[in-house]
Amino acid sequence: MAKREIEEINAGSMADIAFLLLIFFLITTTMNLPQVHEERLPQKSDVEFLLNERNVLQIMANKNDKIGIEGEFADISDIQGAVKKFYQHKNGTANQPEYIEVTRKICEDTLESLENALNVYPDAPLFKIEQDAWSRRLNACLAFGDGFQTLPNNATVSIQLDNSTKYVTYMSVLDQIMQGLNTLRDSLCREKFGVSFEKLNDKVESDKQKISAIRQVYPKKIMKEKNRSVQ
Amino acid sequence: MSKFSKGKKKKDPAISTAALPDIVFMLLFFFMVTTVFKEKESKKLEIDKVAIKETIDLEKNIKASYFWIGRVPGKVDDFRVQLDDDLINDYSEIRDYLTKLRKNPEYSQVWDSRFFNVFKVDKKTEMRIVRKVHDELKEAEAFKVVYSVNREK
Repeated sequence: MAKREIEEINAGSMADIAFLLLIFFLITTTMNLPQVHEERLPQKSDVEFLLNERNVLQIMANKNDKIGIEGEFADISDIQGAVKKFYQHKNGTANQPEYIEVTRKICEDTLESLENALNVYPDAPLFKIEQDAWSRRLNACLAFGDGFQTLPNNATVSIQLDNSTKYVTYMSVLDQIMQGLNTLRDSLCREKFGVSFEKLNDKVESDKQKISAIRQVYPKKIMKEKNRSVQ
Repeated sequence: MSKFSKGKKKKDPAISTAALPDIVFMLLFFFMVTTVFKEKESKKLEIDKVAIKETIDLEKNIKASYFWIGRVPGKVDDFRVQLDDDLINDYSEIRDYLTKLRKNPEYSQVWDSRFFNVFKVDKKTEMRIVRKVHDELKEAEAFKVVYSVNREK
């Protein structure tokens, strides 16, 4: 009796299974990018703005890593609240920063007069900086469809550190400032655009505009002490 | 002459190897995707990184110089700076290093946009050391600094 030959197993669908698995892993695996805090060092040629005391939120850390806000001892978690208050005082509060009013009309007028000024002094660097700032503000107005109040150019959160302050203190101070700032940004973003600030993706053009509009209202302004002089 | 041929054995059919490349490719892709290149670690210094809440992703495709500041293992309070692969003895080495780096067109083209100084600093480092490094960076006109941290949940 002839033995029946074993049939060859059809391997055609093997590739399909392989691809299915491949795609599954492709989708479910995420890569973790290193997490960082970014900072720009001041250029040596940076103009030393003459700062008005009320336009500065002063945060200090001494050699024992104790925190001070505006000259008073404070807890590190108080920084968040102080930052929020600094960015949005109610009008008429004592010692509030001199906020500037931004509306579409003010932007256009200022840009026009800057244009004229630049025609006369084409190389004045300060005019060019102003021009950039105001055109970004105009874009923000257009994105909101509304005007807003923001800190003046020379306003800043200032960090004073002792040489013996620990690095971890510096990082926590920065973190607290950013937490305060991002809370403000988030609530503004929800109010104006109905999404949380974190969800905006800077690779999408329309989101990018929203991000830069919100950053115009609540700009990150942090300065380390060395290069400032108080009026 | 016999009617029955004894020698002719029946061979088993060959197992199809057509799917083998698929499997190999699948494995290859799997490892390609899941491999996370480990962040460069310092072999010469002990570094206990800071954890903070507000962090951002480090951009991709950047040029970077790496600074480690941490304790020499086995010693209590000996904080040193490591630049790329070697511990530095004098802070001015940083300036020389960056100036040299900038002569390379690969770096000079992206100097103001995609060149970063990545800092990995131990928690207990005193700010004077960080400041000295910053001063050297300013001299070399390398202004972009990122601090590598852990994200606190």
